[in-house]
Amino acid sequence: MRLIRTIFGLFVDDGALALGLLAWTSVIGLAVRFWSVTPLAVPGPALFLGYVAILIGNVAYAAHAHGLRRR
Amino acid sequence: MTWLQAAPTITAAFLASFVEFVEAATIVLAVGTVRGWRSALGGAAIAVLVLFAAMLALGPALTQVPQQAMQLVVGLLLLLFGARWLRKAILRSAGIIALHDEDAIFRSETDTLRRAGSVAGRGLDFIAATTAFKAVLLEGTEVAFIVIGIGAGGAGLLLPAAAGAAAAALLVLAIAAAVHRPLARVPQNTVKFAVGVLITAFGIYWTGEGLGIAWPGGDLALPALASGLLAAGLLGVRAAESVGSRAARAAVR
Repeated sequence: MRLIRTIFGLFVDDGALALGLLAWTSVIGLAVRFWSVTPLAVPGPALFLGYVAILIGNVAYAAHAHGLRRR
Repeated sequence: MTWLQAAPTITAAFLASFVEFVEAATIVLAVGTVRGWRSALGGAAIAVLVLFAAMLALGPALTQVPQQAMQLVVGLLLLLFGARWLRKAILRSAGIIALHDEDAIFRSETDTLRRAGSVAGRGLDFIAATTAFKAVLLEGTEVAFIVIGIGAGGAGLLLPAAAGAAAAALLVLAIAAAVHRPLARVPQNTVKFAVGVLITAFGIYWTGEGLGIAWPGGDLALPALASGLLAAGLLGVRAAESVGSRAARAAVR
């Protein structure tokens, strides 16, 4: 059990970040599969920009929570 | 295979493995210093053998997986792994969480090992050997994943990834053998920041390939993704500093 938790911990430190990244992957994956979003300039940059927005939002939220606790 | 494909693979594997080997070396050095080198190196050697056996057992199975499915799975795992490193590096750079301190870890580990009683068996100090074994196995698992993850996404990338990790192992071993102290002067957070950027870039690239996305620019998309992530990471540091101090001021009022 500890081994599984350790291996899980290699990939997931903050559950919200991991869930956000996986959810965005699903959205882009579905868009590519079912809506034939084929122009070269759309899905790749959209995938990247979504991940960046999720990461920045996550660190900003963590910093906000830390700032409130520092009282 | 061109240098454009091999260079990011070697660099990412080298830097990521370097950080993991430094962390493993700190524990093995602590064990060796306090409880003797025979048990420390014995435990570390057993862990290396276990890792090699696991890789030999799993390696052939990985070649059976269709490449696009493999790219998606490996890409997602690299993305989660890299984003976790990048997030921590951003928060550490912004002063939100404490920096990783190899000297403090060394001191804490040596204190714990000094307090632990002696459980010797057949000439091997059991506590020392298991501590070194666990540290090398855990950090080595991360190195194995990094090498497989970076190398498995494309044909012929496994060898450059393994070469990068092997070079990192040799460098850390040479420095640790020479100085007999933890490698505390390595700017760990800067290296972790760079590793987070590179691994996340690989993760996004392979995930896109696995989803059937054709990247604009082909192979050039990888350095472009890394550059974009570096800029985003630096922006993240500024954002975290600003949001954190604003929240602290609001909390005081």
